[in-house]
Amino acid sequence: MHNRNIDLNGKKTTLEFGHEGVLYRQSFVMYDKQTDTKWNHSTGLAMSGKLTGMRLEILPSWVVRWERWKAMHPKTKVLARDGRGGFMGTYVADRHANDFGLSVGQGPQAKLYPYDLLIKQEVVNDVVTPHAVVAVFDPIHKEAMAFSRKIDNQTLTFEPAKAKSPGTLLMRDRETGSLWERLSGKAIDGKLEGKSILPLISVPWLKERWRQIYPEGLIYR
Amino acid sequence: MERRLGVTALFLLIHILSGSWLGGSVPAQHRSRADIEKEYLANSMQAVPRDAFPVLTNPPVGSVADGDKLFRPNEWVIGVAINGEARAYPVTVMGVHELINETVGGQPITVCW
Repeated sequence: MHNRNIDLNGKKTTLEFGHEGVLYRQSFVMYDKQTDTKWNHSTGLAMSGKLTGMRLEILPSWVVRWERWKAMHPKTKVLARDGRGGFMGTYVADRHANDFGLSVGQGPQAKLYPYDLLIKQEVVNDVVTPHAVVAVFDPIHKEAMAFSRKIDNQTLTFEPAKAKSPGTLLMRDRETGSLWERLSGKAIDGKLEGKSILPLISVPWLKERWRQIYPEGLIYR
Repeated sequence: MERRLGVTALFLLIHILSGSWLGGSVPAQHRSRADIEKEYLANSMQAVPRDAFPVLTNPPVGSVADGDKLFRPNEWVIGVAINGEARAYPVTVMGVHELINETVGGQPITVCW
């Protein structure tokens, strides 16, 4: 998920991308129709052509079940298109959880949270430069997300909390005792009720492929 | 459709094979443009022709009711929420296209998988 707007010689330019058909370190490459630069979609880095060295901004996104997304965003719109297939579409974490991790952040600071560890911890308080981060996990459905722990100049520390109803996964912050929905990052009870913590760049990623892209990247242990 | 499956199968095969023999230098933090390009060329290969994957640009948008017709409850979607607007993209549909040029909440974005 990238911001398609870039600053090109001081002028805001919107890029449109096509599929280059090239694999770079097992990751597909896209090109832009404005400058024909080749981009690594995983890191946003321009690797060949006019804009080499530039980085597209990656935007936070979720990879969750439709049911979950609908509960989080009752007025969501959808891609109104059928036609299933392809190979990468089969790569989802519920079948191969131990092969996956959650990649948090972009570029050299990106850090991986392996699912086999998140299954045990469910809520991990950590730092991914420059953010104080909480990585959260649904051990049943294998959904993961990461948020900033900083809100209103306060840094929170989270721990798993018991849900009133099944299917809702919660966490509580130690500083204010507020109760939060784990995967939406929204406070539903307590002092911070109604507030949301900031979602961070979080991508479920096959661990072995992530290592190809980030040979020196940190893995949370 | 058959051609599309063929492209996908080829891509799959190369995905698997490339892991074992692609080596080369390590991507470092601060590199010159020439070094970035050199490392790219050393670790990439033309797996399928350019534009073999049918990338979408501003594809049709549907409602939650459309989503309920098209998707299963437990199906994986990529979700984005920008400027108060939320959008969902099923992962298995993304497997066909791999890339979408999209606009959500007035923000031009890519959706990729």
